Formats: sequence, C-alpha cells, structure tokens
Amino acid sequence: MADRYAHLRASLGDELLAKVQAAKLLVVGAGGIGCELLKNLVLTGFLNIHVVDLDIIDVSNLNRQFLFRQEHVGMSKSQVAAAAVKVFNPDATIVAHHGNVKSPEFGLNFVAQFDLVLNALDNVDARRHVNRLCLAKDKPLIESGTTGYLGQVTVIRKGETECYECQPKPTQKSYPICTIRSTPDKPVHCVVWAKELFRLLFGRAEDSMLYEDPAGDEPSAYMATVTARPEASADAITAYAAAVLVAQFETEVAKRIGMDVYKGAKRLPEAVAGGALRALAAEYAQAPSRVARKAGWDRDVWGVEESAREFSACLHDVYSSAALREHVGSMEFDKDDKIAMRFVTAACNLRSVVFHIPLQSYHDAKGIAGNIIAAIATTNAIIAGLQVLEALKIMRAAKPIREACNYVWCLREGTRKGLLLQPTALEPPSKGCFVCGTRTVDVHLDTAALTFGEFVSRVLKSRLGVNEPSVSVGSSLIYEEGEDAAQGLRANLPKRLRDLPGGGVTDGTSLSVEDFSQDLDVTVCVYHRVFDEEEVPDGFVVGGQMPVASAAKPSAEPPSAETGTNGAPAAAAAAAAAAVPAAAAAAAPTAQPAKRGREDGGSEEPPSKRAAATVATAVDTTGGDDDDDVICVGDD
Amino acid sequence: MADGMDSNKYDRQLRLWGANGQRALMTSHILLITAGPTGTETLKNLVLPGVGRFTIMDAAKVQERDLGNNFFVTEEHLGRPRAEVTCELLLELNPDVNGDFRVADVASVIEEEPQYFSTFNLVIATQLAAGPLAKLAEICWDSHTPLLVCRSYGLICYVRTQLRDHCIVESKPESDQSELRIAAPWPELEAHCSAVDLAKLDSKEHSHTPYVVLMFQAIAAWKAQHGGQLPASFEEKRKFQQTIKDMARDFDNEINFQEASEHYYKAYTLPCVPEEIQALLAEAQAHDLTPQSSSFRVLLRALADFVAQEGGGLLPLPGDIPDMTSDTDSFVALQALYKAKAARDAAALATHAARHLAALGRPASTIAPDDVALFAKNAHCLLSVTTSALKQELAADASSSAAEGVAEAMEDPAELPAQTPICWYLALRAADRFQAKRGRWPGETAATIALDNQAVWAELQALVKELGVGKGPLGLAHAREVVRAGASEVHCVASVVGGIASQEAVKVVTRQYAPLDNTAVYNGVAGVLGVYKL
Repeated sequence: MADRYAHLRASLGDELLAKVQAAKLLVVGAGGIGCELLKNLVLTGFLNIHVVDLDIIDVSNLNRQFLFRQEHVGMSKSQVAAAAVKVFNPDATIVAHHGNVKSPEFGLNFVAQFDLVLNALDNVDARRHVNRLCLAKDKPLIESGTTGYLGQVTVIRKGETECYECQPKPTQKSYPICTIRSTPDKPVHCVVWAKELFRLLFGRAEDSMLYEDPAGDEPSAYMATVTARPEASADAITAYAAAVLVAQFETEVAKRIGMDVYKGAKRLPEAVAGGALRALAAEYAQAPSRVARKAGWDRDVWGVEESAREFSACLHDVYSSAALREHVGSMEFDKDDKIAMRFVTAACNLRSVVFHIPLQSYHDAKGIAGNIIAAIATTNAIIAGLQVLEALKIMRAAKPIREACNYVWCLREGTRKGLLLQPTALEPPSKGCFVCGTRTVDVHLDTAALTFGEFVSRVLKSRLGVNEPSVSVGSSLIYEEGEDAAQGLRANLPKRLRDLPGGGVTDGTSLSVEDFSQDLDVTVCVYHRVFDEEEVPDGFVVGGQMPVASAAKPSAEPPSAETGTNGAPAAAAAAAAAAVPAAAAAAAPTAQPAKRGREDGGSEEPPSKRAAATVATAVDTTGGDDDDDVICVGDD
Repeated sequence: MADGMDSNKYDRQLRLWGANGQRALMTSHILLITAGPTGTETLKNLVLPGVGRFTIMDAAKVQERDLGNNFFVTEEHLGRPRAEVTCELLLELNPDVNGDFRVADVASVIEEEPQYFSTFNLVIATQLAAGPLAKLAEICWDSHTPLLVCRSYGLICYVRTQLRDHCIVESKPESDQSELRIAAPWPELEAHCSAVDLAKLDSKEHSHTPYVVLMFQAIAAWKAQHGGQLPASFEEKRKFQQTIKDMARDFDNEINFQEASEHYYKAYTLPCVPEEIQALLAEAQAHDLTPQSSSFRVLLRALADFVAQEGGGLLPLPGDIPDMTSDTDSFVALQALYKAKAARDAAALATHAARHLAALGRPASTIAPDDVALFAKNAHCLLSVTTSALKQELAADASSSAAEGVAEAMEDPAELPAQTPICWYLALRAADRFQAKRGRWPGETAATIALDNQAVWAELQALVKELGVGKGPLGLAHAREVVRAGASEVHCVASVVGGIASQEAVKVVTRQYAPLDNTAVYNGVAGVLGVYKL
C-alpha cells in the first residue's frame, strides 16, 4: 500500500503505528526545537498534539524556526506552528495554546489528558514547572536542549528515573551591587550597569539598582536630572541628554572619586569632560545609527564620541515619538529592541571608558546583555529527531522506560570509540531530591536581614521554582497565593523573617511550603547565617552548596573552559553536556515573561572574558567563571 | 543590508561561525541529488542559515507515499516533479537564497555530462543506489569536488564525506590554543616580564600579577641555578612547581600563584611546529607553486619561508592569551605585547606571500591582509583533509580502505555488541549488493521476506569475507532488520541524518572545523552514532 503511512508501517509495524496514532501528546515550546519536533511528530504518524508557547515570532528566529516566515513576525509561535504542520497531515489534530505553561489553565487537570509530554523549552524555570506537573500526574516527559553544536535528550518518569531537578542546576549569576555601582572591572559589569541605567531612565526607576531615594539623607548627583523629563522639542531633548550624560559620566564619577571610594585602587576612574559631552549630545544626527551604515556596522566599536552621540540619539528617538514617550516609566529592557540595545551599548562604552575597561561592539554587547545562546538549525534537527525516537520507545512500551530509553548527548568531538551521539543509561531518582525524593531542602540565610517578601520571591520562586507558594510554620499558615488566597497574610511580606508571627523564623526553623498548582509539598529548613555580600551576592545559599571560595557555585559545576578541554575527550564531553541543560538551551531566548526586581537586571549575564566577552559554547557560558578577582574597595 | 548579511536574522549562527563563515556559506552553490525526506531535510538546514544557491536534481514525481514522510510536499503536489515542488517550498523558507531544479535522472547525467558536477562547491547525494553513486564519487574525486553521501534506511542513517586536498584555516580545535612562549620569549616579552620587581609590590599588586610574569621569573631563576637548563626529569619538574608555590606570599589566597602552579609546565615547554604542520610545510616546499595554486597553497609556502627565516623555527605567534587573574592594566599591557608580536609575524608572512605571488605574476592584493592574519593566527592548526576515495572503500577485496576500520570497530564493539554502528554499515552494504543484483530493495514485497532475509545474510557474510574480517557480532538479525525496513525513509530518522549531514556541509563550505573523516553511522534502534575511517 503506497499511502502516506507506507514508510511508517514498514519501519514501525502495524501495532506500534496504531499506538502512535492513538496517542495524545503535549509539546511545550514552539521555538527552534519545537518547530522541528512538531514536524517530526506529525510526519511520524502522531495525530493528536497540543502545543503551548507564550512567545511571538521574532526576526532572529527565522534562521532555524522553519515553520515561520518574515510575514509571521509578531504572531503567536504556537498558532503559526500548529497551522503550518497541520497542512502536512490533514488527519492530524493540532491544538495551539498561546500562553505561559506556568499559568493555571495549563495546570494538573490539563496535563492529565496526555499520554506523553515533550519539552522544547529555552529556560530552566518552565522546565522545572513542567517536570513537577508530569511527576504529579505520572506522565512520561521527554526533555531536550541545545546550545550551539551541543545538545541532549533525556526521559523522565516518576519513580523510575531522575527527575529534572534531581541534579542541581547551575544558578544564574549575580553581581555585587557595589561592583556594578562603583567598581566595575569587566565589560559585563558595564553592560549590567547600562541596563540598570535604561531602567532608571525608561523603566520603573525605583526598581533600578541606580535609583537613589530623593528623600534620602544624601543628595543624589543625578536623580533630579534624570526625572526632569523633557518636552518633545529637539532642543529640550538635547538639553536633557546633555544633562544626563554630564550627571552620569562626569559629576557622579567625580563625586565618588571625591568620596575616596577608590582609595587603593590601582588606577582611578576618569570622568569624561562635561563640555565635550554637551557638545556631543547636540551631534545626535551624527550618531553611528544615523549615518550611512555599511555591512558589519554592529561589529564596530564606538569610542567616547560615537557613544555619546548615540546615547543622545536614543533619547531623541524615545522622546520625539509620542508612542514611545508614553511608555517612559514602564519600559522593560529587551535585547531585540534596537533603541534599547543601542542605548545600552553606548552607555556601557561610556562607563567602560571611565573605568578603563575594554569597549564592546553592538553585537558583543548584545551577546552579553541578552545572555544570547548560539542556536542553529542543524543541532535542533538532530535533537528533535532523537526526541521522537525516544517517544517511539515509550509508545512501544516493551520495557520499563528506564531500560528502554536513554540519556543521549550530542557531542562535538567523538568519544574514544568515535561515538558522537552518546547514549547512557538513565539514572534512578536521587533520594535527596527535594522535588521527587526527600521533599526537604536546607536554606542558609540571614534571618535578621531578609524580609519574608524577599524570601518568597527570591528563594521560593526564583531559586526553588515554586509557582504559587503557601507557607506554614508549625500549624499556622503565614502566607498563601492563588485564587482564594487570604489577602490579610500579605501583611507578613515586609517583615523580617525573624519577626514573623509564631516566634519568627530563626536558626533551625522548618517551614512547610506547598504549591497546589504543582502538587508540590516541601519542607524548607532555615539555618541562620550571615554572608559577606562579595562572596554571596544573593544573600542566601540553598542545600549543601555552601560557598567554598568566593562565588556561590553549584556543586555540579562542569570544569571551566580552560581546564575542561585539555582532559580526555570524555571528560570534556561530559562537561559540555552537563552544561547544556543548565544553559537553558533551545532556541528563542526572547520575550521572557516580564520580571521585576534586581535579579532580572543583574543575573542574566554570562561570565565575561576580560579579553573578549563573547558567548561561544556551553562550556563558556556556564563554566570558566572568572569573576573571582573582583576588586571592590568601596562600600555602598 | 548591503551585502545581504542580515545580522539580525543570522545573529545566533554568526556567534558560531562568524562573518567569514557566513560569507563562505552565502557564496556557495550546492547540488542536492534526490528530493526525498533525507535530501530535503538536509537542504532545509542549509537554506535556513542562508546558503547562496542550491540546485535540486530528481527525476521522480510526487507520489502518495511521499506525503507521509516529506515535510515539503502535500496532496496538491501529487503528480508534479518532486524537484520542482521541493525547490519552490524550500525557497519560501528564506528569501535570501537562490535555487533551481533539474528534472533529470542522475544516472544519465553522470553518463552524459560528467563535467556538470564539478561546477558545484558541494554535491550532496542522498538515497542514491550503489551503482550510480560509485560513478558519481569517481567524477567528484577526479575533479576535487567535495561530496557528501547521505542515506536513511529504516532506523539507520549514514553520512559519508569524500574530500580531496580540502584546506581548512579555521579548524577551531577544542583544546587550548594559546601559546605563551615563556620558555622562549621574544625580547619585548622578556623585557616586560623582567621589569616587574615582585618584592616591591604591595600585597594587592602581588596577588594580581599575571601568571605569565610569575612563571617567566620562576623559570629564569631556575635556569640561573641550573646552569641554564630547563627542568627535565619528573623530579625536577615537581621541584620547579614547588618553587612557584614558594614565591607566593600567601599561596592559599593568591589566585594568580595558584594559576601559575596549575600551568607550571607551560614555563618550560618549548614551542615547536606540530608534526602535522611540519608535514604540510615539507609538502609545500617539495612542490613548486603554479599560477593556479590556491591562496592556501601560496600562504603555506610563505609560511615555510617564515619558519625558516624570521620565525627561527617557529610558527607565527597566535597572539591570544587566556584569561588570568590580573589587574586590568597589567592584563591589557600583556595582551598588547602578544598582539603586537602576532601582528609583526603576520606582516612578515604577508611579505613572503607577496613575493611568491609576484613570481607567479599575480598582484599581492590577491590575498587580503585579513586573510593573511587569519592564516598566521591559525598556523598551528591548519588542516588539509583528504579522505579515502569511495572507490577505494568499495573495492571488493582486502585492499578496500574499509578493511582496517571495520576490523578495528568489530574488535572494540559498543556496549551492546550487536548494536555497534559498524554492523549496520555492513548491513546497509549487504542491502546495496542485494539491490545491485536484483534491481529491487530487500523486503519491498511481502511474499519474499523469508528469502530476502537469507539472501541479505548471505551477502553480509560474503562481504565480511571479502574484507578479510571476522563475523563478530553480525547475525541473521541484522539482515532481518534491513529487510523489515524495506528501504523505507522514516521522517524522524531523516531529521537526524539531515541535521548531521547539513552540519558537515556547513563545515565543508565554510572551511571551518575538522570535517567528518569519513563515515558516520547512526543506529536509531539503540541511539548510537559511530564515526569510522573507511
């Protein structure tokens, strides 16, 4: 029979093909891997697929997300992808959901209807959430990720295999506030600062690391200037741009030098002359983005003059446009927004000049600012193909998943036996896992300093991935979220942990944390400990991951790029592969759900190389951290 | 943009292969033979990143069975030429790409217009039967045209490269490529490192002196105490490492000294020209350049001159230094020193190249300064790849270039011996032999399955006998699987082979990274991919 299923019937056999056709699948993510995966599933005979993605299509997706065309830019990924693959088998039912997989509509009841879940995600946060949903509903989950030429596929099944959280994931990097505000010495510090300046000028100013309370004790050198929003006339905008430039790159720098912040520093920062800045602010028409650009303009490195002109040009672009002006005060930095990125590049380079730090091109600054992970069609094709082969093994159900399936790594260099795709046995669940094992986690923090609100947002939500926490001490509920949550308990949020009702949270207190949306129930044991901000900028440490040297490094950290690659290929490969899930690979790291607070600005950066801050490989993005020579002599 | 390089759309890949690689990709013309799933999946992954131009050659018309596994065809295309339909749809993926098609039987083009194939930068032959493939491979070999062979067969897939004198400047090896030359410093480095007086530094400066300086001073002191000799024995090397530790004021808290101690061997390791490069240089000197010589050959010859003259036996300095604990000023100063030396070396290389070009009657501008600099920077990892010819591999006796590789792989099987990918390579070849004799694939008709199993098994045994290797883990089961699959193409397997093959294609046309040499076999049953030199 030469029908559309002829090849499949020959390869899979009638029995397996029937199971495939009857199965109901959930695909989470319709980006680089997701496009390939949906196409592969439909052409492998799967007929009933739901796909969830919150993203819209960006032009930088088109080099690999082949279900999308130029005319789709700005449209929902899940909807366009579903419509595109549906064409390839009219028998198939593809249901698109445009939304965040963490929202309640995609909760436990939603997941319960599927036979199998496949992740095609680009971030750790959503992966953790889907992991918990699948554990709760006992659904097999096929997890995937790619970073440049590297990738991995693994299968998770409750009680049989390791879950996504059995191995600690390297956490995002935070930088000490004083390094960002006073003593930067790496390009990444200047990029973080520039993003904070963007927030101060165009976003929620009070959330910026550079915000200074106008009612505070010490007069701010720049807050009055920054908040004096200009009229739409060109002259007014130029005057504003000049004032902000002078305030940031002359007055504020001079003020800090005067405060002896840099006593003992090897080389003092140098303020940029205000007169020059004022003149340059008027020359915004000659900004690099305005003059005729030749190919590769984004790789040119702007010096003081070009950066100052560009800085002014960005302010002109924002304030002379009625549509953009309206959003001043609520803009979020987005690396794909050209104005935002031009501004950040210009501000970063001016800052770098002041502190004698190597300057960055627009392209490289974007790599740092967006924590951009390289992504190509070829690796995604391989990984998505492998995911479907694992799906077929699960469908065949000839053996338990842990025996039938593998953890497959896509390596850059072969193993000793010349293997480039290396399957390894799936590990059993880790007994100590706080999600699928003991359900207990230790947190070390300063109970006298941290507020309960910070604990909820930074420890429970950001680090432990809890979606809607309910928190109890002993038998009394002290906080809850969700539809019917008791609002009165919000009064506990501003309190220090030590001052919470029922005797407070002190050294050795156990908190019971529940999340009904994830069916999660965890005991959090709090231990009191005061950290040096330089050593632990987050202010807390989770689990057994106590800081050894300077930075709080995850225990499962791969060897650094320098040391890892000289070893045996297998060791390097393991390092690379281990980095992949952490690097939160996949394509489309765009349009993340809006987050507020400092973590967003300061923690997305890859470690920089002083010589050249590029994002090259997974090994570079999570290993090779060289941030241990921070010279911080001031104190904010 | 002016040169069509859309850095926004291509942003994520530019971060992997850079503007050089993208330019090479955008000026390449690739021929795809057979527009089935394996072929179109491979080409899709080249169209998306912006290959310059492609041509699809396929004589078939779209049939019902294509609909189930080929993403590029739908019901409305039934009966139209597959080459035309897939060309149209592939072009939709990326407006930057040009493409055309030929509705032609590849076997007759091979007979009638063998010169046609040499007009391409790369020929990708997919799902081609052994007979025409052997002829095509010979044509490509003779004309030095890179050839990529891909097939998917049931759950097995196969990729083979055939390259001849394929030169690569940016081979991008994974290991640390920095060269510090501490043991053989040039005068400026020596002056810079000796000028630092560690004793006079305050504790902050002391703990932020780059390890290059520390190791330079440590090795200088060692030589002074050992009659100018470098540490040689294991014992001496261990002692030397201890002297670095002893130089620290507070070893546990001076990360720069810890780094120096970790990299101590770099202090006494003398730089040298790697053997592979020596061989390339010897070959370059043995052959006179001709007006047709490629830039690579001219530069290689210039490099040999450089090593013999200015280089004093060494290659140009690459100029990059690894990150190290240091205050910014010291690091930048050190970096500038290495960069300046690298620039001087590149300039000397350019002078040699210009002289050779002049002798050939070609202007010096034939090779851009940036290309000379890139060549100089990569001088220690240049590659010239020549794989075995497919003809050699397919020789029907122990003279086959595959004999050794097969024997080696059979003796060192994977975890599940029967699933070692080499077994599936042999099984595919047995299926090819079956097809060559009978004009059909095994398992295509249900009635003859049992007979086909036996026939393929017989071919498999004959094949290993010809190659002069043992049967190893091979068994009737391998023949059965090949018969069961009946030459079907499963889409998800095509996706995997398409990903692997297109990545190799990018390597070949961008001349970056070491390409596959020469065969990859993926076994979708066990999920193992093996690479063999056959």
